[in-house]
Amino acid sequence: MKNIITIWKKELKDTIRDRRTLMAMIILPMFLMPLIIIGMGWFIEAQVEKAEEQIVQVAVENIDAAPAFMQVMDQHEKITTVDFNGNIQEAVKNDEYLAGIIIPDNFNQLIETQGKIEIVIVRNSINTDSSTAVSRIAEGVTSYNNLVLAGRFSEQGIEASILNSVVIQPEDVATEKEVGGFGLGFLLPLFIILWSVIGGQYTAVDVSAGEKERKTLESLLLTPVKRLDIVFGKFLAVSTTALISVVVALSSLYAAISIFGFGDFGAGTGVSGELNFSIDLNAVLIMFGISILLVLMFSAMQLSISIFAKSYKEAQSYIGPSYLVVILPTVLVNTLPNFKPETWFFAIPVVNAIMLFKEVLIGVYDVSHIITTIVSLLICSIIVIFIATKIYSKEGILFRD
Amino acid sequence: MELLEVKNLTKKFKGKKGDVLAVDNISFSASKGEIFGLLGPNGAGKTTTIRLIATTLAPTGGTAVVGGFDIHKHPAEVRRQIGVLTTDIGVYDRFSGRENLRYYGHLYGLEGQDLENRIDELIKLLDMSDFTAKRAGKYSTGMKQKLAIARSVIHDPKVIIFDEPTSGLDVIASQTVIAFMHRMKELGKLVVLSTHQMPDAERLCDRIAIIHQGKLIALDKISVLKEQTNTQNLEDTFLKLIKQKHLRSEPQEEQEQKKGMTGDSKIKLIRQIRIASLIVLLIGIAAFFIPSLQQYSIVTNALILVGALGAVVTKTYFKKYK
Ligand SMILES: Nc1ncnc2c1ncn2[C@@H]1O[C@H](COP(=O)(O)OP(=O)(O)OP(=O)(O)O)[C@@H](O)[C@H]1O
Ligand SMILES: [Mg+2]
Repeated sequence: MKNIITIWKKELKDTIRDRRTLMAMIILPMFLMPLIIIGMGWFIEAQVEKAEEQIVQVAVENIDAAPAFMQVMDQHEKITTVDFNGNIQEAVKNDEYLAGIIIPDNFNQLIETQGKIEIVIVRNSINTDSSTAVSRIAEGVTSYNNLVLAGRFSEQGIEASILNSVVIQPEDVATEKEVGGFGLGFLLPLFIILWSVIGGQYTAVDVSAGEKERKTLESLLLTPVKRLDIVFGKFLAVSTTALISVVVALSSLYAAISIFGFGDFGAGTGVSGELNFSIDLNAVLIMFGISILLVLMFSAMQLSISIFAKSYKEAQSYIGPSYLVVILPTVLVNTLPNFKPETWFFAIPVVNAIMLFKEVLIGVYDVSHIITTIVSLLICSIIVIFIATKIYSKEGILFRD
Repeated sequence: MELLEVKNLTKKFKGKKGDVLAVDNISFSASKGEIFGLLGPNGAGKTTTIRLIATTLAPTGGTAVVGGFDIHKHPAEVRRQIGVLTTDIGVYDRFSGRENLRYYGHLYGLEGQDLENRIDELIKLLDMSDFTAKRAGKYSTGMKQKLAIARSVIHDPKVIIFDEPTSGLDVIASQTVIAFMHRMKELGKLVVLSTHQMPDAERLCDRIAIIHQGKLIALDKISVLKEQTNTQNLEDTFLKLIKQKHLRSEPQEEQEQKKGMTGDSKIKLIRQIRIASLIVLLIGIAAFFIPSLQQYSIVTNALILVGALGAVVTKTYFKKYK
């Protein structure tokens, strides 16, 4: 036990003195991820704002045929209409105008006879601004329709308010916590998984392949310390760095969100910047416990993989693809809409953690899910740690030239 | 009882290109206050012999007893008895010399003032006081070598094994190392020196063992061996003994090794294909059991089929080439 602690302390000290590990462990999670999140939020917000503020230029063919209609259109603050003669389709295609309106010659006549009028709206669906323009035009058309109908109703002595037979009163059954948790459910699992992999990676390579490359491994094996103790000391050091980086990443994310808000990052999910969500202490404890298990599993895995390598570089090329194994299920589970996993899904390592995080974040505590996840991850970690110790007692791997 | 007894020690490395008998039935013994030379050309098996004695490698046959402890029964105790300086020395670059020594001291169970005193003693003995506070990453080869020597004897072992301790060192640094070995001998340690440097061996060693292709071909006092071969200096003695050995042994082993070479790259390729097939097979089987993927059963069946086919085909090829 004393030897394990000696090795653990030494490896931690060693790793902290290495700029690369320090970067991966603390600096990167502290600044990079919150920056990306906030930056992304701001970017999306700016895009949405730009689209809202934009005044669209619309070309109108045959503008004199419908003065009343054009008057309504011009009242719309974010539309400017331009009289246009020529190939209107060509002009929209060339992005000279965002959209075009073609008014039929007999517009006024049809109004008077209460016939059906068809106007053509030309748009370029490749250009998103063109879509904005079309929806503005649609708004104008609706206003004009209402105006005409109101006139016709009042001619017949009917109240114009009859037009508003159905109005929408939005009401969300999801609580604020659920909405917040749902939004966070996209980010947190990814973060925890990502940093439990990245955080310990350099240390894992450094204490195994690095030690081999720098030729210190043999002198370590020459000491009376048992191989098992050596593996455990190194394993604990890797786990510690990974766990530190998970904690740093989460704290900085939490700080970033509470200071800067979510931005409109959750736009698609209905989460807005003003949301004031809080996470249960229970959820935090469960997520932390699961993170520890994940970290143990990934650390043992990385240690096993990188001891196969002869050099630092080789080890990193082995570990690189392991990101995919981790990121892929996260993205998959995140993108599946309305994914309602059955209990056996929680037996799949990594995937189970992601799904469980999502659940507890919206306040769902399913005991069978939690237990299945913990047992599955625990068994996996023990197996992987066992494999790591086996690998470290194989002389062929330690002395491969 | 002798401090170091090596009995029928054998090590066979299993390799893809055939087995290598790196240490072939070697026996010798050495006692305290002696400098024992381990001589042999490149690839003779010196380093492997040392690793077997130091328990970092497990022998395929025979045994060694160090200070009364058998390498099979009490490996940790054996490691406590020995201090080994390896050929490729490495030190922890981000630690100072003293921190390096402290770490190893702790691993050998030393602590506190005792450890600091021991470190100071070694720093003085090896003339390292100028640089032990600096980080080891900035050391020259000579400084690193001194640090490695200090590290190897931090626990004051009874047996000191140096594997080519002067290779790559200048005359001054070599002298320090040689003086250190003399000092250890005076202190009653057994020093085992593995080297190519005949002048060093001639000057230092009381007895030498010459190893060639894993076999012990001579073991005696240098003067006796010179007399037997009728030579003046150790280099000639060495060359003559090796030559004699060559005339007697048949070069059958080397031919055997060459045979395996041609199929080697093919086997590697087949092995890779085989692993890929097995992975495809596994993915197919896994996908087969996921209910929501059942509408893609054609794909999963295809995966299983391709994977299984690949596995079977490569298996037959495997047998053919092996
Ligand atoms: N880990 C290993 N796996 C496979 N073969 C090995 C291994 N270590 C050594 N060998 C082989 O065993 C033989 C003896 O090697 P060893 O390193 O003991 O020789 P040596 O006498 O120390 O040589 P040198 O003077 O060059 O250091 C060589 O043929 C070498 O290729
Ligand atoms: Mg050697």
